[in-house]
Amino acid sequence: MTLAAEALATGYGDVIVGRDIAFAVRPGEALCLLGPNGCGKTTLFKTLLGLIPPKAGRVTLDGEDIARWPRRRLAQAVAYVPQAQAALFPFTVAEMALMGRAARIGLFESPGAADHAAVAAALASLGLAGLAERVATELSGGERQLALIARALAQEPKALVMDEPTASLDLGNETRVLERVRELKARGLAVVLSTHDPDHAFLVADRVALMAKGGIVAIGPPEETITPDRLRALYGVPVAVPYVPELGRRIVAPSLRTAGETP
Amino acid sequence: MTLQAAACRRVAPGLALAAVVMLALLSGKFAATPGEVLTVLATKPFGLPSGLDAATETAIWQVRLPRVLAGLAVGAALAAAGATYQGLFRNPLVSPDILGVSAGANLGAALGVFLSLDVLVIQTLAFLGGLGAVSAVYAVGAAIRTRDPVLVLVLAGVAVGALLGAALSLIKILADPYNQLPAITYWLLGSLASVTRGDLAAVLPAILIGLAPLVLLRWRMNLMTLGEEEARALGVETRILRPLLIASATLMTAAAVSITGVIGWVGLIVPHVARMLVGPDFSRLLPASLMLGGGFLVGVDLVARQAAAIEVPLGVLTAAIGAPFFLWLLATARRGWS
Repeated sequence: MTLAAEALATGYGDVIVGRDIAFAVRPGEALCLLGPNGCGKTTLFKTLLGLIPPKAGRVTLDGEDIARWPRRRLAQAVAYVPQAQAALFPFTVAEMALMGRAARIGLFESPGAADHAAVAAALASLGLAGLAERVATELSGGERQLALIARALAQEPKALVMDEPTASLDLGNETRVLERVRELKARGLAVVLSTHDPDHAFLVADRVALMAKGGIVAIGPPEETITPDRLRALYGVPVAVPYVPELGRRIVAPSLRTAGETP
Repeated sequence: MTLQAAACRRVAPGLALAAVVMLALLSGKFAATPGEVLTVLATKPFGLPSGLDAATETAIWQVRLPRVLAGLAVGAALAAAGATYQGLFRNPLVSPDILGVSAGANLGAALGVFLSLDVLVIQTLAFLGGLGAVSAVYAVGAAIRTRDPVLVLVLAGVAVGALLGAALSLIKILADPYNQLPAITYWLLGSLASVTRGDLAAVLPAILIGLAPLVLLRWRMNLMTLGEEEARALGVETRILRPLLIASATLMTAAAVSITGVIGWVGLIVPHVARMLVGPDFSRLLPASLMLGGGFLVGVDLVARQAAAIEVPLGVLTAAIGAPFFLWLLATARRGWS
């Protein structure tokens, strides 16, 4: 399913946050949004998910405007992976993932055998089978993020919207989550994700969109789009994008000198 | 867990509840035996003669049973409403009075006492006061548009509650200090003593109507604890379900307190204990809260009428038990909500 924004303007009430946003993410493709804090990424995500109405333009799934879709139909098509926060109530990982089935069962229904099977499959595909009965409040940040991804997969969506899935994770968990994102893409999901680390775009994205002040300033394949000049303009600090032969790819790093080193 | 242990866990709460009810039916001035209680329960509901002496039969059937049933219904309603509110407001420290239902009921009842109205009218005023207060809070919350509607709702509840509390204080100052003021104070502390069979019959439908959506939506209620946007992204129409669930829990609470007066702490403490026992899944939390709440209030009421020469007001006892227990919960922060 292709998730697209067409001449989209986003915002709350009378406040316009983003404008002239246009892109399309096809099945098996990942679009990475980069931009400084306050550039309108989160507002864009909420608009893509139909949580707030567009101020102009439209959000489409396979060309169909989602504005009038009921929540249930939308949730069957697009899943949202929020940033992992400390859960309030001590649901187990399995109970949490089961909530992804809400759009697949009746209003007054409780999940049945098929739903439990879907959850087990989602957990297993993310290597979480052993954590099913663990209480989510007692997990590490990385495990909790993966559990939220499992919940999204239990939804059996066609597209995935991930809000900084690697925020506040250590290097190991960050890498594991990014690996999973690559797998999800390979399974044919259309993925839109935001991140604070431009380097992630090289790792998982087919295309990257650079956002500033609510608009997209550049969009395209990471190798062509992520340049030192553009990143410097975006974040306001000098950034290097050198090619690293050991990795066989470019990396993004702030070009600060190591402490103690004289120029 | 072995099968026997699982079966035990299933049966144990029911047995404990039955034991408390039996104890409450046995205890009192007219000593009765379990056999006599069972005889009354087996015959009177079907209009058969029990064959017991009149005093015993009256004590069990006319005096204790309505009181025990009221305790079950009111305790269960308050606990279920509390569990619902705690989930909806995503805060384990919330009680059913958060949106002003108690403040409204208090004011309604005090007004009724002040105007020397009939008991039935006082109860009706308490009921309408509770519903009215929550409606006002909800209207204010809906009128103020922000990104955090739940927080606005809670703050509106605090403000409206304070306003109603001020009005209540005014009535207490103006009330006749010899007749009306004690009656108001008594009402504010809650009691099952004066509940009649008729009262129970009058409020039971409202309690059951409020309970029905909670039972039907018991699994979906879990998603309401995630917060507005997450729940909507998972396909839940929160804009319909949230008001419906608030209305249901409010209806149950208002109906319960209209016949007994406001009984604090039950709606706050019991859901906690239930969550410790069965976990946060509302499908299990709701029945556990209903049973524990009913059993707790019948038990507390038993203490209230047996412990001292005069009846201790229920609100005093529930606070005396509830507050230390709550502090213990805070200190130990067990699995349940930590």
